[in-house]
Amino acid sequence: MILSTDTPINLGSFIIGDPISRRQGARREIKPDIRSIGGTSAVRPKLPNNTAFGEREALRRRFDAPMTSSLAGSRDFTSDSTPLQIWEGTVLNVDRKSGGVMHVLLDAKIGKLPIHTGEIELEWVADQDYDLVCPGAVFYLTLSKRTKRGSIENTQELRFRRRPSWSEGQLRQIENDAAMLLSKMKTPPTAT
Amino acid sequence: MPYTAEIFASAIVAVGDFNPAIFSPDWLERNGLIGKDDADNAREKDPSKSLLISHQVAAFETEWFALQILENQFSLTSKAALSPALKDLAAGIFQMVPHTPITAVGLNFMGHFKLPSEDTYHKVGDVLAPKDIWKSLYPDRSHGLADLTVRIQYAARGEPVKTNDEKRITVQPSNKFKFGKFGVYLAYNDHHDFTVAGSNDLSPAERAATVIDTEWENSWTDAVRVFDGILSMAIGN
Amino acid sequence: MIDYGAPPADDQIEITLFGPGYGEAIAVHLGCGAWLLVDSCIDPEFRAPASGIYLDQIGVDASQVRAIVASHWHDDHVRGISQLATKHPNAEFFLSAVFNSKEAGAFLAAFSGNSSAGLARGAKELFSAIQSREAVTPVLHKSIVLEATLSNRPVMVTALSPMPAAFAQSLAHMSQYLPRKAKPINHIPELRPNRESVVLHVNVGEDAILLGADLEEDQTSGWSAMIADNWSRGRRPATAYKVAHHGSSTGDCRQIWENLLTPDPVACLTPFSLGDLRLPTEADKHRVRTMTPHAYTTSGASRRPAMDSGQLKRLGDICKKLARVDAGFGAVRARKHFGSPSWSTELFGAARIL
Repeated sequence: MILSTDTPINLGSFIIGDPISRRQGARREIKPDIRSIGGTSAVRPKLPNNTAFGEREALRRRFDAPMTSSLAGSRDFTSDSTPLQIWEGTVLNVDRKSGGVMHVLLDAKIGKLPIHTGEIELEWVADQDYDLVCPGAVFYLTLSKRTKRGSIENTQELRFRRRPSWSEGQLRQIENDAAMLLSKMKTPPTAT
Repeated sequence: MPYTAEIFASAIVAVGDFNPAIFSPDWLERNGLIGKDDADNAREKDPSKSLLISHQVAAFETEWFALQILENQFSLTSKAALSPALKDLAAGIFQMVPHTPITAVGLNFMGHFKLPSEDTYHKVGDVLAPKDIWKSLYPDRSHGLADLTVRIQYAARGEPVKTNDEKRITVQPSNKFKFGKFGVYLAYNDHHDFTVAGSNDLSPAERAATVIDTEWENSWTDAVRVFDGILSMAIGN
Repeated sequence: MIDYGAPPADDQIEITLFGPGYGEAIAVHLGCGAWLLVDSCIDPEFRAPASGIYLDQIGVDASQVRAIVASHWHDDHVRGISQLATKHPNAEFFLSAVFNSKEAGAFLAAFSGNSSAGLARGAKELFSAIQSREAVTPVLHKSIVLEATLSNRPVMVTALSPMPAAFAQSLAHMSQYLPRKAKPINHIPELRPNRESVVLHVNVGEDAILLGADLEEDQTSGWSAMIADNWSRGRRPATAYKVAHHGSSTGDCRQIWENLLTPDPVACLTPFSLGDLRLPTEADKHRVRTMTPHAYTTSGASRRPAMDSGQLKRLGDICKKLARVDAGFGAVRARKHFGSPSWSTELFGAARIL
């Protein structure tokens, strides 16, 4: 399958390689002659031909889809943060009295840190996640650094994992795996 | 000392045959994939927001992700702080639509890295794309790396490729640093192909969900290793 | 790196208990270079199963391990057990007979990570261990784990639990979390009290060791039910005891000390700390010390957070009472020659007298 685009790529205000043109601050736009075959890197999609012009323009204005280049990623994603540490947390138990606190197990995703326990007050939990708080529930606590207009700020976000229902494929897999486990069980001798 | 990106994000992209009209904030909320606040955020009729749901395209954003689905492509990109909740959301969506024909999934990680000086910036380009050949071809012009992509396949050179899975690493100048600052943009694409049937009886969408679930964090770890390796080898520690 | 020294002599029986502050593993030498491994925990220095590291260090060949027992499925007892199962392919693998059922099989399969990224680590380890084997052996009260003659000495390792009465309750708990279509994917809290644990009696000649696993007291299916059985009371009283359930009061009852152990046995335990649950409590320590003067713990080190100050401050803004789970790794080793009246005990790493 061929995904192609006829949208020009903006390389931004940064000019590559040429110190003279950089000093001049010139901005170049390059129209790509690109074919991408089934690429799964973040690409700018080809807008459907039958999309209304107004809708097409609205899309371009409201949702700046990632740029495309030949199977390459896009530089213009809207994130402005980098994670410094992500803790995968498991709720051990919840005490909802007087404001509420959850006892948690924390496993660091970045670097080789040992597992820790701690307590997090429930006021840190977003309203939409409150009903997810129960023993065994998993959450991600991301501590990041955000760069905005040259200044750096520390940010944190606590988000609970959401899992939809078990799918038919998963249930089939589980049934097969369970049968496999049972087939391996043998009977031991019994002492008298 | 490992290099840390100033900006780091992820995008999960899938190629297939989608029906964008079903992937509305309401649908995601109803199926427990996002919470009420995120759904409300996506539904806001704000001109600066991007909510668009039609038969050809579904596009909206929340504070932490941007979702765009066309008839032949799915793209979920992180905004704000990157969280593994992104891969849970992508895997969850595909589990809810197990009969969607998906032919490939890409796990992408992108980073903008600030470099300490202009010299270091040029050094990255010089190591990855030496200027000598271009100087000999265009002796009176200046040259520089604009875009480099390396493809890594799962076979040794000369041996037949047995899988269409591959990785692609991209290096470009960064466009995020201004006022005389220099940086490089690195992108990592971990491409999983589903055109060949798998060994279990999972549908392509279920397979996509499983790959995202089990491989996203591995790809992230590998991306960080590769980015650090590129910069270390180009610049030195 | 801990220096464990030389392996035991052929005519020595040994029990070594490993504990990193969260987790437990046991290595038992049955004589003549034959070993039994029970449960598994991770050595934080090597990030590999602690009993595997130990056997490598003292020069024990992988083929000398005769049996591996997973006493139950909780994460703190089976971390790395799938690696042990792979490393010792000739050792027979045993687990609680509770898992010889459709419900329990589906439970392990559902939370193994095969169909959905692992939600319960213990289930994943046990699943992987079973998957890697052609056959495994489910054991319950009176099952023979190992029977042999080594240096003309009869060796018999038997399971004292789980009692059949424990099965129904354990299976009911697991059934609650079995996957069903359109049902949300839930996480599994551990079942308490623990009645599905495998308690082992190790009889080597005229010596015996009791390995209490995590079995807790219950009149119908716990310790007192097991000891009420004549067959259990007929086992040779043990002179060394791996204290059940981290020394907790729920894992203890007087009949253990009166019926299954000799007076003043060597007793060793691993601590457990998770959230606001810390075992053994000071009262637990006092109680064990009144039963024997020879009581030891694998770890008692500080649980201060282990991260740089920047990370600690950022995390500390949100999370209070931060404490490291693996609070120092240690091992308690007890050895005696066959027929000798007393054990010789050594403490390694963070291990100390209780």
